[in-house]
Amino acid sequence: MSERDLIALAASGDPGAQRALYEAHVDRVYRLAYRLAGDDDLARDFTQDAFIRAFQRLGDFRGESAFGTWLHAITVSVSLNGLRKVKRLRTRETGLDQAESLGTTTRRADPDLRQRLTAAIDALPTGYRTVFLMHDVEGFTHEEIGQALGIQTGTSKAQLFRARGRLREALADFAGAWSA
Amino acid sequence: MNDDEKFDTWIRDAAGSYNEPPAGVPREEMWTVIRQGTAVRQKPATWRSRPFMRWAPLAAAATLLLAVGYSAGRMARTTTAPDTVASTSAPAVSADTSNPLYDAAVVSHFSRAEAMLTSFRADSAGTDASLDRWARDLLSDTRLLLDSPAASDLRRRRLLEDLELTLAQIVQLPAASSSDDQEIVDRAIERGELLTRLRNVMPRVSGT
Repeated sequence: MSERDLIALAASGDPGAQRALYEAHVDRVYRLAYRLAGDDDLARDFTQDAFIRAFQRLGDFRGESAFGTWLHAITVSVSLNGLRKVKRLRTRETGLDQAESLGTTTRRADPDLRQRLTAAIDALPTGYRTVFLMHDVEGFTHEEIGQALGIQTGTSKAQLFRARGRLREALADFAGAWSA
Repeated sequence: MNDDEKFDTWIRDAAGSYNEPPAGVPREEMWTVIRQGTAVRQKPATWRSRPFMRWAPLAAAATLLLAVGYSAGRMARTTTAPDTVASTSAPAVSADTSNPLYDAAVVSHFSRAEAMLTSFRADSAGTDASLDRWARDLLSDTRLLLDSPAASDLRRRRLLEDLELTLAQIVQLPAASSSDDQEIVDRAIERGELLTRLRNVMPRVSGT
């Protein structure tokens, strides 16, 4: 059965078709949510939310892009909104002083390269970070990223270029690690 | 290859460890929540005027399971009454919780609660009638469990009490609730780590 047939069945509420679509796409959706969230519970929440929303809105899916691309767009939207919400809630509870460091941990004093890299990626603006993770880490193409984020392919390329530039600056004192 | 290209290659390798997902995806656990959330939230045209029909089969099955569990728990308590009396001074976890029927009822309840809370958080447009009815149904089942031997397990009792509080908040949300109203409930869910605790008390199903 083709994916188009599965989508039509799933849109009518067929649980078998929904399960088949889920099986085909859950790994990549969960990986993407996890890369963005860095937490198993949040990744599960975002994955579940993404599929529930996708199945509810299947009637709106016109097939102008691949189903996977459409689903990834929902996943990114759910994840980024969810992360904003979590950050906002934690900000209120931890107080403004501590909140300044949430999501932008610098850890400059730590000499460990991995921690420095983690801190540098955390410190990227959300758009740069999302494009960098999708392209360089999860292997999405610029076309897929553009469709998922609702931006031009050229914008995706530009954001990746800037993200790498910022990482290069942040990790300048580790130059030997990659030029060797 | 210039330095920038070397960096790009190096960063791709090194960044693989950033927020690296676990090898196994918790497929079955997530699917259970998605299936329940989707089943209740689907709006076939013929059911639109009767939202009760959407969740009625699920609720009936769950209530039946709860009733069986409740009865089994009471029977177990009756048969172990002398031991219970002898150990009243020790607030230990009850032996009733080892009853498999009772455990099944509790796990089913927590599973439905997780699905409902996930659906609630996914719904940015306010609670609709089906979600409200689902929350009311869960709230009454939670109270039933709190009055049952299941609540003699301290960990379960605390979880049930927190769940009851959150469900009561959802039930009391106005039909056209604002995002601020929903955020208050979201905050309660987040602060109490309710979803995490619900998952932790349910048996793990292997992922891939």
